[in-house]
Amino acid sequence: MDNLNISKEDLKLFLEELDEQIEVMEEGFLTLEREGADPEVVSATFRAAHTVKGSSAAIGHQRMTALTHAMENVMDKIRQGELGTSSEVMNPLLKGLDLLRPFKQTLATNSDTDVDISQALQELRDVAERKPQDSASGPKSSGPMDVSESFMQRIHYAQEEGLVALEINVTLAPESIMPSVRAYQVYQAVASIGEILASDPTLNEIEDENVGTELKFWIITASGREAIRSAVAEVTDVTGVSVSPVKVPKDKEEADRAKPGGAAPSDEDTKSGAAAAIENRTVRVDVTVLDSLMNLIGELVIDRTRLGQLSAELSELAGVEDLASEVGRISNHLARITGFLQEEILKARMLPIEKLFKKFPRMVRDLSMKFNKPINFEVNGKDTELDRAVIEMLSDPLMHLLRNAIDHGLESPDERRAAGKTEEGNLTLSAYHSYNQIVVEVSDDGRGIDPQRVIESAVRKGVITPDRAKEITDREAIMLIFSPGFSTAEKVSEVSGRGVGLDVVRKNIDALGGRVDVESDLGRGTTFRIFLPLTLATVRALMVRAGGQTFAIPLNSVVETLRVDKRLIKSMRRQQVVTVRDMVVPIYRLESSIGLTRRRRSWNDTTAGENDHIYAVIVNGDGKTFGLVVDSLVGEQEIVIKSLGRLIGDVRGLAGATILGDGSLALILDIRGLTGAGWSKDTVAEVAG
Amino acid sequence: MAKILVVDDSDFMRVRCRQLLVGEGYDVVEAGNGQEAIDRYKESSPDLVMMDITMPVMDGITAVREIKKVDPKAKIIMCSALGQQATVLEAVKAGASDFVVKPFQADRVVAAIQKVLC
Repeated sequence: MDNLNISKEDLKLFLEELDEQIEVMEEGFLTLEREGADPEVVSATFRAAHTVKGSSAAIGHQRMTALTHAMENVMDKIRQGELGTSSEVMNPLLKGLDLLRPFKQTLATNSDTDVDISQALQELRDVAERKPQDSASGPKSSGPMDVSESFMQRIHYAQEEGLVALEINVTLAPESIMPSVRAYQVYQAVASIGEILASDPTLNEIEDENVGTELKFWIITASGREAIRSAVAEVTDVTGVSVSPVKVPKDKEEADRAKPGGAAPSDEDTKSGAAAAIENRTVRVDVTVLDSLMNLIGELVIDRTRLGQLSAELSELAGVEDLASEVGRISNHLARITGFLQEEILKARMLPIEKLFKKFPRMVRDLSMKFNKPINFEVNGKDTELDRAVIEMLSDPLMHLLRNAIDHGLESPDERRAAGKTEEGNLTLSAYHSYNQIVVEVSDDGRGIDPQRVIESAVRKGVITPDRAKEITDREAIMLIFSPGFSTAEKVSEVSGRGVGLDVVRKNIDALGGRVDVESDLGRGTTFRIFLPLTLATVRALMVRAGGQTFAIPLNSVVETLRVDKRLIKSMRRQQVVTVRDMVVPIYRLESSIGLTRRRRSWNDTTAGENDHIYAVIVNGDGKTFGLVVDSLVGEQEIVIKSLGRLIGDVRGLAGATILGDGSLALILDIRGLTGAGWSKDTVAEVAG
Repeated sequence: MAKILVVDDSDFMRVRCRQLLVGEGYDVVEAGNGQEAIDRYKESSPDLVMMDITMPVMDGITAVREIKKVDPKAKIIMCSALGQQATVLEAVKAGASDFVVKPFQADRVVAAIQKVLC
């Protein structure tokens, strides 16, 4: 182990910074590989490697220093235009990055590591020593847009001849139907005006249909800027054209800045300046701080209620009317403020889903290489905000769905070509708001799910009976893929297997109070949609009273509420049941279901006002339907969940507690927990479906 | 008024196209495949050709090349289905001016025609 020279506090700072730099590099490397050597990205990643090198040297972490030094060298070569950004160049860089992570881990846990960096170092050195022409073989080498000497020379000569060098930036409409044709038309239009020195995408890339919405050209021409602008704007789907002179740089430093992409310095600078300003206005807060703030607000609510009562008492007294009304005003104001506070804290728990999404491009890229399936991976709605707890729990299901899409959904390039599709598979990950929900979507344009094959497989695995198979609709058939026992070892490959099937994805989403849906068009692709509640911190609940206590039953578990005539309660195998719409449903006293009371009361004991009826809330958890008998129904309410924590410890069947408006505590039921493993067969006997 | 040659092997598509174009005040000449298109082009020298891609006897791309040989200034708009990007690109390289995607959106077709004609 490297002998480190760092205090605990400093280590925390170091690790935080390391985390950030690793993210910058990862995102940067992937962008460079995909989009070529954008000078800004190149410098950002170079800086990140440089920073880590410096700080790791400062704490005496020699292996990390050596590794980042080698990475920095490669980045420098890219910066100088001596290396391209093809996969062959980026692979060792990404590999180096992968080694930084275990270092981070061991530093954080203060454990020893035997991470061997020698091979990664060798690969980085090999790449750094490559000749530029070797590296130009990648699909997106930096070649054509590099500001080489000869390139600048030509601009120089052109200027002596009275011509001008211009940079043209063209934006295509994102909904453009055949962008590469449009790009070609733009290319033609530009070529008719002047000599194209370089373009991004290159002509080859256009012909390979490797075109985004931004096009860039460097040309030498005698035409005026306005003529160029109007000629290019003629092309359908062009939404923006800007023409600016190419500055001839005097030295290397300036050449870097003048490269396409950095050619409009004033604009870029203000933009990043504003971004930096926003960056500085945010601070990191530990989640536990937010949680404890939430709890403190709970206490405030209680005091507010006390104050309210006090002011009521005061107003009864003679001679202190002024005092009483003053206290009343304060109490009302306090109520409003605590309400706002609660809302703000809830907002503070929300995070943009980007936090989660940003780890997927790398994963998709690696899988794309592994399966030899070129993939156009698009990520939308990164700014969509979700409760941080939801974001954390969404990671595994999404990873699974993406892997699934790449492994099973997308076809091989050969198959795709045969099917008349682009060789590059399209995979989209999106997040958006819809009504009061967040929707996260994983969509591919692959082969789709064949309902017939799903049915066959489901029958074979005993998921459904052959009889059922005959009457099942296509849509129901496709939903079978979420059934437990459907995805079995047969489908487990190293990548999408891990012994985890879609049933687990569904379980995880269910646990979040969400649901997952799939839509598939055979031959055209599959879309998985995950619907999630906006936040886990609040939930809409049905408030009931039972055993002298108020309970909150989350509405997503409630099927219906019933007022049942006691004479209709039957007994089946010592289990009391009621019949609801031809279904026999077992019923339990709510307070005994969570073990609040061991005493078996007869239904006649109920404190409910009417003696010949009981109230039952029919609930559904994990597919089991049962009734909870309560003394009275209070109403529906939005509640804030507080963990029970040290109050009463973990109780099966209780999700937490909430403080009601009057300061009293209501216990929140966890219906899923009630049906879980802890319940013995005779507690919840599943009766007839 | 400008004369437009509509080339498509589907009678239905030609009729629809004719209705649309006549409604816009153009003269319309029709051809059912690439070979017919070349003959019609020579006979009636239209101002613009609307060219389908997949056709019997002679496909649209070949017809574009042939027509361009007859008249290098010929103005041709390709009528393509979705997913024919590579083919359309080839046609544009061969000299087609623009493309519209089936099923036709009238305003897009008219916009493309006006742009190419002016």
